[in-house]
Amino acid sequence: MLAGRARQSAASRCRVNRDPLLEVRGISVTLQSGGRVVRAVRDCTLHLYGGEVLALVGESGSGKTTLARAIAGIVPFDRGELHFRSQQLLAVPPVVRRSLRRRIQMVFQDSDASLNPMHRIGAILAEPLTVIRFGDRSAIRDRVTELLAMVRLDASLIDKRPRQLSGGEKQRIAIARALAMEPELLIADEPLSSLDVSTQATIAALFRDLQRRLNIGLLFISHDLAAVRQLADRVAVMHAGEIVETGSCGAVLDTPAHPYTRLLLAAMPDLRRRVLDVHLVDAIDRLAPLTHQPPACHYRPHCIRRAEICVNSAELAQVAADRDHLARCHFRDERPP
Amino acid sequence: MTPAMNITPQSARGNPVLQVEGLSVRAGSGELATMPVQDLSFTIAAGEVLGIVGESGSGKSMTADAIGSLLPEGVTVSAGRIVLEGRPVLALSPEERRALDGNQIGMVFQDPLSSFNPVRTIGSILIESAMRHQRLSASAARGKVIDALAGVRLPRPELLVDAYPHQLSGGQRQRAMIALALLNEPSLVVADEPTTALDATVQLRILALLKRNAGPRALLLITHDLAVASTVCDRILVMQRGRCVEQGSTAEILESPAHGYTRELLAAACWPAVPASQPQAGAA
Repeated sequence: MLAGRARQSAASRCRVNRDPLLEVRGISVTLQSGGRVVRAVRDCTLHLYGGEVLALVGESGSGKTTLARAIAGIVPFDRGELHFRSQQLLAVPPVVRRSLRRRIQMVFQDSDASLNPMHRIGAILAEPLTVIRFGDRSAIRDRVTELLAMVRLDASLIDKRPRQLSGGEKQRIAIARALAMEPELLIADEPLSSLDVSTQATIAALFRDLQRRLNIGLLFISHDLAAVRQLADRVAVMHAGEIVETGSCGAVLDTPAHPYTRLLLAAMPDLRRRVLDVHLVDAIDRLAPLTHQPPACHYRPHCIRRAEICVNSAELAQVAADRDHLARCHFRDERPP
Repeated sequence: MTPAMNITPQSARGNPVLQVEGLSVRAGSGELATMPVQDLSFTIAAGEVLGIVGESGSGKSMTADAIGSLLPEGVTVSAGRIVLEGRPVLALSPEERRALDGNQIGMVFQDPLSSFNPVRTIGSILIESAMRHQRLSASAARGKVIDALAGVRLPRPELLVDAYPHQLSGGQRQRAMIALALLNEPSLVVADEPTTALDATVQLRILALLKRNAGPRALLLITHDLAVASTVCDRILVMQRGRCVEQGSTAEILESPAHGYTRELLAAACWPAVPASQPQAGAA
């Protein structure tokens, strides 16, 4: 159960559908925080095919959660377009938009905060089914049992309350509740972060299994590149509200092209390294937040490789022969961050 | 109090700062009593970092709480000895034990937001501690606290001293917590999951800071993450269901784990490191 699972070839399963399930085109989100206006997401573009796992990675404050919440419709975006099943969500009538949005469900980091502690598990899972008028009481009861089985939980949990469950079991309930709406897109925001390492591995495997079996597109938000490597087909790396690198999981994590991606990878605790790299800690110290954003490349103040050209432009550009691997950096070397 | 226990082989580093011998912790009473920690023995020398690694429920945090005299109500040490710099901690009066906290033992917890009083400034919490334990005047304590905040590389410590806990980022709060733990120069620092909620980059900075600033002190790091322990620990003790399954140098634990459970933990910590099976696209 604890053993590592080898990644299986992902590329073959993806892109069976010609059009992406989700297209985010140039979305920007501005947030008000303590009287200050923060541009949390800047001109982000990404796509996700049905049955594919796209990981959104970056540190806290990089904008990944805000972008996910904009896609889920929890926060408004002030520029850009959101296309789901080839329909522009803001351009369709509200009734169509609502039924489309139902196919986008979210799972959060803290299942304690998202599960009502007063309700029994059966009621928690029945609630969304009642909202969508799934059927009569016995149909709902059958569906709840089915949902529990989908997340590998015993039907006897129906009468329990969240506090009687372990962290892993609660996260399974949160996943089951999201599945009740039969989503085509599941957005999971740090769903493993509050769990034990061994529980993380089993929940990651559950996500992988469900997403494959049900052909769900999964937007997986994580600061944990280890979990990303296990789960994702493609990766988008965010820094200062921008996507700085995107590509297949193998391309981005094995041949990172942006210095920020390389820094994130180097910061991962690694059983093989076993020492604290002083230069790396120094490089991370330089990441201290900036009071203002510089033009063009926002990573420039942190970067030892910076040059004149970085002041003028920093566009996402193809890295090498791989058309899907893009990075917002002019340099293509493998230097340490 | 208890018969002779197997004591961990003494490290060559220095004198033992902490000796834990046959420690058992009982929760509840009567038939419902459980034993979160059973017959646990280890030592930590000056300048040494010991990691206790286990999953939640393994008893690792209860061990930290027993050492810090912070066991919750209804949970008691039922057997064993805790000796800190030659003094048996469990034989001390409650006042003497309270004086240990912050004075001889510095504690760092997972979530400083719930450890710091939210209505008090960071500075007032640290200043009170310095005045109490070091008998300093208020102004001398304030100067010492600003130095301590600078020592954990917090930006603009002379302003930060008057900030409230919620005004700091998670990483900054953890730095302030480390400053508080080290303020009165304790001989032992106990850090219980100090980086669990943090980004990998922030985690690495906090680990580097803990290791550097703990310096000649004994450091006990409690973590569920074997990879984190391997980054800073000299020795590792693996706990499962309240018991030590094995302990040894970090190299021994990682390279030749003797116990099946340690091998399982190693495999779990490695799951991420399995390289992608796809050919490396776009390699230059």
